[in-house]
Amino acid sequence: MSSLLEAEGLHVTFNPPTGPVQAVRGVSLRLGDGEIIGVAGESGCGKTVLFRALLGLLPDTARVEGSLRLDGEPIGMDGSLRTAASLIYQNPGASLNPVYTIGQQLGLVAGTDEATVLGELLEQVGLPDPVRTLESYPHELSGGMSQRAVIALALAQSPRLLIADEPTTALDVTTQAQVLDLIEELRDRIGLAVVLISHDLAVLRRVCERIVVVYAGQIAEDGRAAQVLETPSHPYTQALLQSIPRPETVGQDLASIGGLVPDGRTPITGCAYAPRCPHARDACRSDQPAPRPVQPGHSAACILVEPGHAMVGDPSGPAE
Amino acid sequence: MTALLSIRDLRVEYSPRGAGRRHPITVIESLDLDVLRGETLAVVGESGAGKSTLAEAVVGLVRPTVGSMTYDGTELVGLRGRAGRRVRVRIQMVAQNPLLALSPRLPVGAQIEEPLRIHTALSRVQCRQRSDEMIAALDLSPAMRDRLPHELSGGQAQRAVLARALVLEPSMVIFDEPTSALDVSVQAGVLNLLQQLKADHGLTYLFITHDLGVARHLADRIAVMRNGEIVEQQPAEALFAGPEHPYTRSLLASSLTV
Repeated sequence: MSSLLEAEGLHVTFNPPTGPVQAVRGVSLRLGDGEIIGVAGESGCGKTVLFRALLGLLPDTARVEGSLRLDGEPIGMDGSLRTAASLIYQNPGASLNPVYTIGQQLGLVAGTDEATVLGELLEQVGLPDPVRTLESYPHELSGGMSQRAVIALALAQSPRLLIADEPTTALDVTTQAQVLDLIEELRDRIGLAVVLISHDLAVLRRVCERIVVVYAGQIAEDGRAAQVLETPSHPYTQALLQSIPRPETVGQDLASIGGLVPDGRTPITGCAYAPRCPHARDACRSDQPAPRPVQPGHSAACILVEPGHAMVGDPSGPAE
Repeated sequence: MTALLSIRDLRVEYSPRGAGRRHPITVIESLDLDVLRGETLAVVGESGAGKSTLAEAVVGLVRPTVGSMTYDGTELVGLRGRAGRRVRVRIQMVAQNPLLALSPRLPVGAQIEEPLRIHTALSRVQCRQRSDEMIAALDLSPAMRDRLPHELSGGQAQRAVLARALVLEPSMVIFDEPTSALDVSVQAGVLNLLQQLKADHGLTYLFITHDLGVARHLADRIAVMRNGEIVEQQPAEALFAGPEHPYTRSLLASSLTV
């Protein structure tokens, strides 16, 4: 698969009066044409900031370092990517202007008020009765319909990449399933590449080929969805998975992760996850772990990972 | 087990005040539901099903049009004034977003003490002591007492809300999506705590959620709500093994698992 997007050595630092906050600390990421990747991690891990930086959407006070390529050509992180990528958010109601009809808003973005063109955009996202929907105001649409309308807005510029930041978190399960189906369908039909940012690993499993787990502004684990979810190799990914209630956990305590996500103010030496990690040892606190290969296409930034041994603490793996 | 809360033929309507609407909207329609003493009953369903309205009706935030709700033998519908307050102290509610449930300008400790000052005759020192015990029971550090809500993490803020709900020693707690705003890692800690508090204090839970995984993890029984009605209720495991109503089946089918 050819690379649509390549980001190298991305750093984002905010400089409020209270002192610098490091939100992204060295992220490199590749995205293939028509690929759907998932970005997971707790609130405050830097998932959202990372992609806002790529799109040039951060305030001037943020210092962004690193390089970005689109189709192999270097581009700036000054908003240049916005010609090729659209961003949608969690709450569709907040993305739509309440005093304009869907048709008016879509017309502004598409640069035309031709009803047939706008109607096609709505049909593309599975909104029935485009004529009526074009004349509707956002409050007249349900949550699922609003999110479809937002996706139609995002598609109006014919982007090659859709960055969806928690697109289904505010939706019911049945509506969520429909929106995820739509994202998959758009990839298949128009070759759209998708970055799906979500804290919900079940959502990512449903549509993503690859999953990137972000912790404290760095990539903790990166691999095919099945590799990351079935043989999680970074202790952080393992802990995230173990904290989800499942049928087997009925009547048992869930494994919660003690402590908090680092706030980015305190400089981190060694592994950022070490203070919360049950497997941490001295080396973890002194050296920053580099990504290590687990399997082809699967890597984890943990010194306990040995190639071929998927799980930390695996009895056949390195000694605990 | 006997019913602690018995709801019969409950109907709740909202009368829109805006122009153009004359008919009231029925949000809950002839609903029957029993919450048994000591159990966790989960009410699941999609947005707009009437789950939150049900919770609000039980704690007296909305007034039903018709129907009866008996709590430990006392009829709640139409109960006002001192008698109403006395019963409602026994039923506490925890909402979804802790930062909206807490006052932004009052230290957390003072907010946990406030119900004691309003509803009990305890002295200032006793209130302080009771709230300190509660803070410790919820794994919050004593330093949290002097913090403002925005200085807490999501999980800590939700623990503070729990402390405030439990400080009056209620027998029943109604949770309205208490972990939906939290990360899974934090949710796990809060769910563990809820289980432990229930065992320690012999509480009865009415747990409203749209997350079937959470419902299955916590609940003894699950009631499925749709368009203001309960369409099915079963013991949790039985519901997942053999959903009877087509709506329950479609809910289970669209729920995602890792």
